[in-house]
Amino acid sequence: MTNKAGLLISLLLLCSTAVLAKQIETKGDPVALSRPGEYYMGPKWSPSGDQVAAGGASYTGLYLLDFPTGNVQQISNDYSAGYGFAWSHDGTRIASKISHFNKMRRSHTLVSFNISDGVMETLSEPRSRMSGTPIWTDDDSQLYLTFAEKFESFKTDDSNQEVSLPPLNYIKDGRFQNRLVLQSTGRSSETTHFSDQDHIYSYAISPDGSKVVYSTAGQNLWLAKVDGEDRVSLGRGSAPAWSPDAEWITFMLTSDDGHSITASDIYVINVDGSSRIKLTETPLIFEMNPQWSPDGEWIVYDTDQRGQLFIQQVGWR
Amino acid sequence: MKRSIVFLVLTASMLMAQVTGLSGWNIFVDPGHSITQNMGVNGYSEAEETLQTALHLRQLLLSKTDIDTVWSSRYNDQVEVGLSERSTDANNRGASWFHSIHSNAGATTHNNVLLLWGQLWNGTPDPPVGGEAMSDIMVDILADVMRIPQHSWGSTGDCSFYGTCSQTGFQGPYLSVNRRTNMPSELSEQGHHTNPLQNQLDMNTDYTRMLAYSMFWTILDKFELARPYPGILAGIITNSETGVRVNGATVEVNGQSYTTDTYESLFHEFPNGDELHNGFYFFEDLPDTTHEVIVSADGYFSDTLVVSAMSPDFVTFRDILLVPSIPPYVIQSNPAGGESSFSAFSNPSITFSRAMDGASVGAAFSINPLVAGMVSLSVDQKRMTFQVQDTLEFLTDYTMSLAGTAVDLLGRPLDGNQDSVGGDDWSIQFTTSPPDISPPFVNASTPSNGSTTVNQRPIINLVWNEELHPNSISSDLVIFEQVSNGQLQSFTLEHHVINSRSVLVIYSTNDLLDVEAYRIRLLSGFADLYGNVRTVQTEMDFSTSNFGYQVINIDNFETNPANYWWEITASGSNSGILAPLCTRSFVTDLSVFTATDNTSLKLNYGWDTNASSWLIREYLSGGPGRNVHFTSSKIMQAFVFGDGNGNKFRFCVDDNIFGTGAHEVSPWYTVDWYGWKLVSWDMAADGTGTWIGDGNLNGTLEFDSIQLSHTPGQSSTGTYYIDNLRVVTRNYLGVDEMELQQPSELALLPNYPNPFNPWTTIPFTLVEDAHTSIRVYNLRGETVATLLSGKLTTGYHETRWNASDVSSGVYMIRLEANGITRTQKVMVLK
Repeated sequence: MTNKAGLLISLLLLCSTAVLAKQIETKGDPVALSRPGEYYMGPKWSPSGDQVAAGGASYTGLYLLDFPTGNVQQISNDYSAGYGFAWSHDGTRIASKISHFNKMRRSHTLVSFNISDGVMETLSEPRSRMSGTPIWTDDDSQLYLTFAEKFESFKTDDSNQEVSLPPLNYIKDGRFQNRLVLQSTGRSSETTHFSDQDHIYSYAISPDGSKVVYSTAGQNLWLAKVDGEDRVSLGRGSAPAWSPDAEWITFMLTSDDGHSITASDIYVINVDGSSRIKLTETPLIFEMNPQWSPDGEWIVYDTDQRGQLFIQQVGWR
Repeated sequence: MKRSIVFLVLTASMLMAQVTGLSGWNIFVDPGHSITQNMGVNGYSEAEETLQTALHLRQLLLSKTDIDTVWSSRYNDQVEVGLSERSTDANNRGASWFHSIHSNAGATTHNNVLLLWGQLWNGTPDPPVGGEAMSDIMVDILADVMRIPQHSWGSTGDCSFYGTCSQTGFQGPYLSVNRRTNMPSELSEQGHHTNPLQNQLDMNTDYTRMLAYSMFWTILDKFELARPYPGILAGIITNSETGVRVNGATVEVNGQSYTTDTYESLFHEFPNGDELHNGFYFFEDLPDTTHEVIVSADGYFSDTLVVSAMSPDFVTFRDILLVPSIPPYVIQSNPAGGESSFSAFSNPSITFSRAMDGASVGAAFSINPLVAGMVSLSVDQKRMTFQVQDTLEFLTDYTMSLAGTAVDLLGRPLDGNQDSVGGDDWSIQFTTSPPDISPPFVNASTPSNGSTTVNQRPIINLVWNEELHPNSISSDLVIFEQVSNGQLQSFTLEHHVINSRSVLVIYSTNDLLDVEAYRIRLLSGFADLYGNVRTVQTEMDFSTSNFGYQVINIDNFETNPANYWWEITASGSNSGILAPLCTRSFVTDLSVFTATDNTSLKLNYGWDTNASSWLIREYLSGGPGRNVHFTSSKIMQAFVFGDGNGNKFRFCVDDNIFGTGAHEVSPWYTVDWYGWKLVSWDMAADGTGTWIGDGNLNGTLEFDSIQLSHTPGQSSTGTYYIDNLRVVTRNYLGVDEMELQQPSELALLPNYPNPFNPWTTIPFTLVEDAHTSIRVYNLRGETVATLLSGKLTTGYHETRWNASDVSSGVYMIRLEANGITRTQKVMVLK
């Protein structure tokens, strides 16, 4: 085959892919999930999709809001409980780090909240220094911390059985780490192939575990395999989250003047970068921290300043 | 041996951590902004300044305490870090505390310290609490270290300060770093990077280290831990005569040496680096004992002082005035050397570079041929006058001399030949004029005889060929009348002497009729200094114009003008000037005559005739005048009292002030007039002059400066008085003159610019004195800002809105006065 023929076939394949690719669109206007005057930050869907958990103002306290009614249940009033929490895969628990302050000193405790009765289980001793936010292993038997200063895992039940850790991905010192790569290569450094210049502020692993989308300083959004290969830029954005079918990514793009957020909107982008769509067009409302519902039909986000949660229905054409 | 090593290591470690008690604690330090954002007035940005402070604070805490760790949101000025990334980073790390470092912006005269802690809409601190208590401590220490005042709000909650929080709207805290972090937090504003002196200090990294010490001490105080002895000696070295901070001064203490910043060491990195100074020196870790401090700099006498007690827990400040070592010299004389027609009735004078000892000057002065008289010094002791007892002889060659024995107040002898070595003589020759036997006459006027565009409240200047004898001047000799019917007009008469000429200034005390002819008649009786009496009448005719002006005042120099107008020598744009002769002051002896206007701006200039270019930029740095915004449709005006010397005057404005602003200037006006003249720059019709702008008056404008220049061959010294600086709109007869003076209805006039970012000006008129409010609403009807609320008088008013705190979009401006409202839409476009 000549080079020209190969090029022609490639172009045809590209065009047909573009024609067949589904396009996302909003369905109706955003709907308020929470009431005006209530303040929530950092919403996350339950695995079943029938609830949204969110932190309170300054991430104090943890709340559950029923979808779509917005009925509220508070399951914690602890400091920091609402920041960086994680739903277990079976949807029965939420892991979080809570804080206590005493004479300027802060102590952190890793805990999990039982959704059915709100009982809090302590998973670590209080520590003056505990960086990171929790992530559940796939079988919910352990928790480990991402954005931590060192790798550490915590058992989530009372069994004495030793469990070997599966391949895990996490952030340490702002760098992406992959334990599968570490174990297979025997490298002493945990850092994978990501650029040394990339200090990661937010990230999300694709549902199939093969890719990671992450943001670095200046809201630069990147997509790569979890081993760091095939890194491509997705333009500007941060706080990314995957669609359940792993074909789309939602994220926020904010502007600020050094004191306040001056603009923020929610976007979606196709994983091949071919379609970047702005979902919100409200200059007076600053939408942030989007999360895709498990069924892929809704995106929930919070709003800066007002702290109200909204949901936007999306569809494809 | 091993034990010894371990012991030494432990000892070193203990010495490093002088303070224990922070173990188990950590802090996230946030240097505000990124890269070179928020540029300071002299080219050093807020982002660079805050980064330096943050890195010093981190180093201090890690090296002097047992703190667990100190994180920072950025460690260099290469990476841009957004607001949400800062709080996310701190939250992910689980920091115990968050402190954000900023500096403020505003008028160039503003410089203060402000602390803002997280606060909710109802006024309570944002949990987890702690930022308020930390702020209350830091605001005092930071202000004391910077030696500047606290902001009037001092330490306050951010919702109270910004005033925009509400239960159903923006619930607070206002500041993103206070709202989005999950630990106690606060934000400090360490002075103003828009203040020139502050910005030049900020460039010195040791200065930012001193600021970091204030935050370090705040943390220790909050933990109730004793501050370790810092051994800090710091201060500012200043020229004792000029007040300029000294570059390259060396301070030696305890075997250590510190040299203040110079162009070569630092300032070359900034625009106008050769004009920058900070004079700052800094030592730390000096032993707690008495110190001898030796200060030296080229061109100054060395100085030695003793610091007998170092502060045990704070900065020991010692500011130092260095005395210039160059000897005094003669700047100018009157007459100048070689003058061939010096009035025999005048008193010769000599101006020195610095204050002189009167006795030595009197003893050193001589004039030949000998003339009876007495030497006296001016109040500032820089100007000597030889008061001739009778008169000099007509048509006589004189030599006026000062011996090198004349000394300044410190005993340094006169440098007669200006070779920087004192002790040599100075002398000039001049010749007196012939005797005067002619009566005086008017040889010029402003406005000129026959002018047809005189405004309705004219100021008439009648310029004589010589000085009049004061006793011959009387308003009885002046007739001001309407030509058509002989109706006498009331006026006020002033007499001024400029360059040995008399100027009679006639202020009409009432408005004249439009398009009407008037006449000034000077009756016989005016006499010169030699008794020659004018025996004939002089007439001067003019007629009034068919237009008036709607005036927006920029500055009439009545309210604290010295706070806003720089000293001439403070501007880095000057060139070809003799600095000691260039002064600005505000005087009441010569101003445009009105019932309420008593003060004018007086500019003395002195040009170096050996220079190739000449410029004085008399800069308006702030105040209400800088808040007057206008477009190129306006006419800029000022009354300028000219000295007739043929040098030049012009206006300078900043254009496109909400974008990439630049400086634009008017054409030059040659000051060939004596007395008051209304200088007008019709910006739409007259075009611009050439300076550093592109020659176009783009966007919104504001006043920048008055500029002067020299005309080669003309006098190198002189004085201008300037009054009633303003922008006006010309109103033609029968259109709306009275309407503008007495508004017929409550009106909210179009704001400008619109759309805008972030400032807009909102003009409005009141038909009666009224309690008036202007508020801004968003489209949901929520109050965004209250721009004013209070009693105002009838007439034209303006207010301004800074929309930097709101997002792009349409807003409603609502004017309410005595129950009547007016509303209009405005658009913020970012």
